[in-house]
Amino acid sequence: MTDSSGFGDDMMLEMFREEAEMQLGELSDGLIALETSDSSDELLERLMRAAHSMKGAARIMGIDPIVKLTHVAEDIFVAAQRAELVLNPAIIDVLLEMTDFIKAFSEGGADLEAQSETVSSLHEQLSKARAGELQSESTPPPAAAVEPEVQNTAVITEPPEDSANSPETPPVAETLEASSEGASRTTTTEQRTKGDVKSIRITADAVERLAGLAGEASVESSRVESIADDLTELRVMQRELRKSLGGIRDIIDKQATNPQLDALLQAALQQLDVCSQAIADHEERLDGFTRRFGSMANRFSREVVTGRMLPFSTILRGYPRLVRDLSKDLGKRCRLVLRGEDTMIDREILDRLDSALNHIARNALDHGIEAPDHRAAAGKPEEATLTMEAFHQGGRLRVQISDDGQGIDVESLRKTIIDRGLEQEAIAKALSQQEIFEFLFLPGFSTARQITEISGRGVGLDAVRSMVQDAGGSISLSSERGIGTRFDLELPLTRSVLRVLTVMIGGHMYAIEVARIEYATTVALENINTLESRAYFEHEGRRVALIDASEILELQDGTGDGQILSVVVFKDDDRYYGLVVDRYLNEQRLLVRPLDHRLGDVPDVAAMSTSEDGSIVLILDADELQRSMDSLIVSGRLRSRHHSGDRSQDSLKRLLVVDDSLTVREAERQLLENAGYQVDVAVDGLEAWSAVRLSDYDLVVTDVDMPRMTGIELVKRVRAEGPKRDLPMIIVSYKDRDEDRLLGLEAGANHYVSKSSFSDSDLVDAVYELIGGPQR
Amino acid sequence: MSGDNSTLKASGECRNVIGIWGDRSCSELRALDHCHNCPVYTSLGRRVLDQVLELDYHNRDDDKDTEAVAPDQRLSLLVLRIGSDWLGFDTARIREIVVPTEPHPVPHRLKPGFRGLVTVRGHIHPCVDLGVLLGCDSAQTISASPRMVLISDDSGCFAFVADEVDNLYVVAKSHITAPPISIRDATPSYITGMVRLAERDTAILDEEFLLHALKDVCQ
Repeated sequence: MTDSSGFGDDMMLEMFREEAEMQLGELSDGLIALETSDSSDELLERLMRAAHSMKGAARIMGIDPIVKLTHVAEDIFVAAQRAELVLNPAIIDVLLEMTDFIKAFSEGGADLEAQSETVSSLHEQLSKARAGELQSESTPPPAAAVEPEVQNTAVITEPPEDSANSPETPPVAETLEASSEGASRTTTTEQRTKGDVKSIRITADAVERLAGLAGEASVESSRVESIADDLTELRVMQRELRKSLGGIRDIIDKQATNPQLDALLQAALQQLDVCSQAIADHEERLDGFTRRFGSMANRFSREVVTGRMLPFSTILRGYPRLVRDLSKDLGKRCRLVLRGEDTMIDREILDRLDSALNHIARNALDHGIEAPDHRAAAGKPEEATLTMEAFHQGGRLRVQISDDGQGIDVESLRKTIIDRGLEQEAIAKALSQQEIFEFLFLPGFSTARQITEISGRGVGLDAVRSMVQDAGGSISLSSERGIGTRFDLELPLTRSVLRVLTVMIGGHMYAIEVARIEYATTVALENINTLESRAYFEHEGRRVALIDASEILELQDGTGDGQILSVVVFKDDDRYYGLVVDRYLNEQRLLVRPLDHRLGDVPDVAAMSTSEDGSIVLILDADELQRSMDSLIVSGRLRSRHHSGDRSQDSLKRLLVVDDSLTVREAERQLLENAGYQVDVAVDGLEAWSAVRLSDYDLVVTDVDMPRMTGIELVKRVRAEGPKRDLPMIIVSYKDRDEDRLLGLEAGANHYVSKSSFSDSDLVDAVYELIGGPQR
Repeated sequence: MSGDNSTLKASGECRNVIGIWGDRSCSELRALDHCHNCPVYTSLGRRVLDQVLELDYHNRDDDKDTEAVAPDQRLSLLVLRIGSDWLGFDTARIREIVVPTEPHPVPHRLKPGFRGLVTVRGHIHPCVDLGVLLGCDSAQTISASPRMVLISDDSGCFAFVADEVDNLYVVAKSHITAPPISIRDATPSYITGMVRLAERDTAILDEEFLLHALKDVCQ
C-alpha cells in the first residue's frame, strides 16, 4: 500500500481517498447530528452504511487496521439500531476520533505501522464502547494514549506543544487534522509530478451545465447557417436583377437611342457584378466559418459527453487483490475472470457500480463459493471461478457477476422466510424460486448464520439493489443449486449517450431509442384496414396494429400529413405494433438526463434531453410503451389504463403518512397501500401542514418527533386553523408513556399508536376504525 | 421631418422609431447600414454608462421610511402581474427572468396548473400555470410583455409566465397588513399579507406553501 509506485495503485489510492472523503464526511456529519438531536433510525442506518462502506474500501486496499476499527464502529451502530446500546457523548467522541484518524491517514498516507499503538488504543476504546463500558461522566482522556504516538509520526510538522501545557484535555481531533493538513500538502505536490494522468473532481452539475452550453453552441452555429442561406438567396435575387437589366439593355441596344443611357446601364451592370462577387466572397468566408464553428461545437459536445465515460477497468483494479485476500482469509481458492474491461461506462454509473460489485463479490466469496474439499467432493475443480463481465446491449449497460459455487438453497431460504414470519406458510410454499430470491433483497434479511467481517449483515443486497435502482437500473438473481449463482445488473446508459430516432408527436419532439425500433415506415391511408375497430396495416405479410401516439400519451392531436402516416414499428415476441407519429425528424445521439425528479413517475417516458437544436426532447420508454400499446389493443380502450392519472383512483380514500424516517414512512405507506388505501407521504410536520391544506385527505398518520414541525404541533394546527378541523389524525410514536399518549390525544389526535408495540394490524385497525374501508 | 428627428435623437428613441428597430425611414440609416454604426447610438450608450445613480435609487417607488427600518425588518419583493392581480415574491427566491418559450408537454400530465417543461440556457425546468394555481382572473387581460420567471427552492427551479414584471421594491415588514377576511378563509390561500406599492394593492405570497403547491402540481 505504501509502495504505490505503479500507476494502477495511484489510481486506486485516489479512488480510496475519494471514497474515504465521502464516507468519513457522512460519518462525522452523522455523529455530530447524533450529538445535537435524538438518534433517528434513518441517521443510524446512514452511519452504519457509511462505516460499512468505509470498511469495504479499506479492505479493497488491504488496510487491515482501518478494517478492524470500522468493523467495531459498524457493530456499535448496529447495536444502537437494535436499541442495545445508547450512543452517549463519550462513544461519539471515540467514533469521531476514529473518523479523524482515518481521515488523517487517507489524506496524508501516514505510515500505519508507526501508529499501531494509536490503532490499538482506538480499537480498545471502540471495543469498550461496543460493550457499553464507556460512560459519559468518566470520559477517559483518550488523548493521552494517542498523543505521544502522533508526535512520533513523520507526518507531523509541529509537535502540539500547547496540548502538553494545557490544563484541559486537548482536542485530539484538531491536532490530528492539523497534522494531516500539513502532510497532505506535501503528498499532493509529490503526486502531481509523479502521476501521468491527472484527474480532478468536478460536480455532475458542472458537467451538466457544460453540456447545456455545448448544446447551445451547436444551436448558435446552426443560426449562422441560416444567415448564409439568406446570403445565397440574396445572390439569387441579384441574378434575377441582372437578368432584368440585361433585358433592358437588349431593348436599348435594338433601339440605339441614347448613348448616355447605354453607358449608365453598362456601369450599373458592372457595379452589380462587383456586388455579386463581393457577396459570393462573403458567402464563402461565412461558409468556412460555419463549418469550422459547427465542427468545433460538435467536438465540444462530444468531448463533454465522453468526458463522463471511463472504461469498466477503472473500478476493477482492486478486485484481483480483494478476491485473493478474501479467499485466503476464508481458506478458499478462487480465480477471478474479468471480461469487457474496455466497456465505456458513465462515471456516475461506475461509482454506484463499484460499491454494488464489491458487495456482490464479497457475498459470492463468503457464501457462494465452497471450500476446496467440498468442491472436490462435489466433483468440481478445487479452484472456483468468479466472473465479472460488462457489455453494452440494446443501448443498455449489462453487468454480470457469476460464480460456480454452491448456489442458493431455495428450500432453506423458504424456511427462513416462514420462520421469520415474513410470509404466511401457505403462501411461502407457493412462491416460485424467483419470488423467493426477492426476499434476499429485503432490508435486514440476511441468511448468514454468523456475522462476519466479510459480509452477511443484510446490509449487502438491499443496499446493492437501492444503489442500482438509484441509477435507474435493475438487478436480478439466478441460481442453481450446486452449479452457481449469477447476478445480472442492467443499467441504463442514463446520463450517457443514446442513439435515438427523433419524432414529432402533437407538435413536440420525442425520441425513441433506435435499438428498440424494429423499423420505421410510412403508410398510405388507403393501405390501412380496420379489424374490430382497431386500425392495422400489412407489412411483409405481417399485420401491424396501429396506435396513435398522441392518443396513447394523452397529448394534443398531432399535425401529421392526413394521407400518409409515419409509423414507428416495435416488435414484442411475435406481435408488431405501429406507433403513429406526426412525422420523423432524424437520428441523433442524445445526452440523456434523468427526468426531472419533481415530475414523479411519468408513464411511458424514460428520460429527457435537449436535441441538437436546443429544444427539449422526451425520450420514450419503449418497454413501457409496448405494454401500454398491448393493453390498449387487448382492451380496445385507452382511458381505462391505470396510468391515466388520479381519476381512476378517485374512488379510493386518500391518506397522508408523515414521518421523517424513510424506513418508517415507507413501511407505513406499504402497509396502508396493501390495505387498499391511496397513500401520500410527507417528511415533516411543515410539509404535511402544506399538503393537508392543499389536498383532500381522509386521514393523517403522523410521527411525533420531526424537524421543523412536530406531529403534536401539526395536530394542534389542523385542529385550530383552516376548514379541515375534523380531519381524522393518528399519532404513531416510540413514546408510549401515559403522559405522551395524553399529550397527543389532548392536542386532538383521534388515536395514539405506539411504535414499540407496533404490529401491522394495529395501524390498519386504527385507520379502519376511524374511516372504514378503502372504498369511498 | 428633420425637426421631429432631432428630438427623437436627443431622447435616443430614434432607433426604435425610424432606426433599424423601427420603420427604417432614417436618412442616415442608408449610409450607416445599422444603428450600431451611428454616433447617436454611441452617445446614448455612453450616457447610460455615465449615468449618476440617485442615492436612493433603490427606494424610488418603495415603501417610504424603509431606510429607518433595520435590515431584518425589511422585505425585498419582485412585483409582477398575473391576470389582474399584482403579486409580490421574495426576491431571494427569484433566479431569473427571461422571455417566455413554449413549454414541451409531458405525456399523461393533464393537470390544469401544469404546462410542461421549458429549457433555459440548457437547463430544463417544470413550467406551471400560476394563474390557475392561485385562481387569478387571467382571461380578461392581454399581456404586452409577458415574462417567464424562474423561482427556486432546494429542489431546483420552477418556471411560470407572468403577464408583466414590474420592479423590485423594498418594504418594511410593519407595513404589511393582513389579507382580507375573504382571502384568509379561502382554501388554499397562498397569501400571507398585503402591501400597498405604487398605488396598487400587492399580495405577498407564502413562498413555502406556494413551492409546495408547485411541487404538488408537477407530480
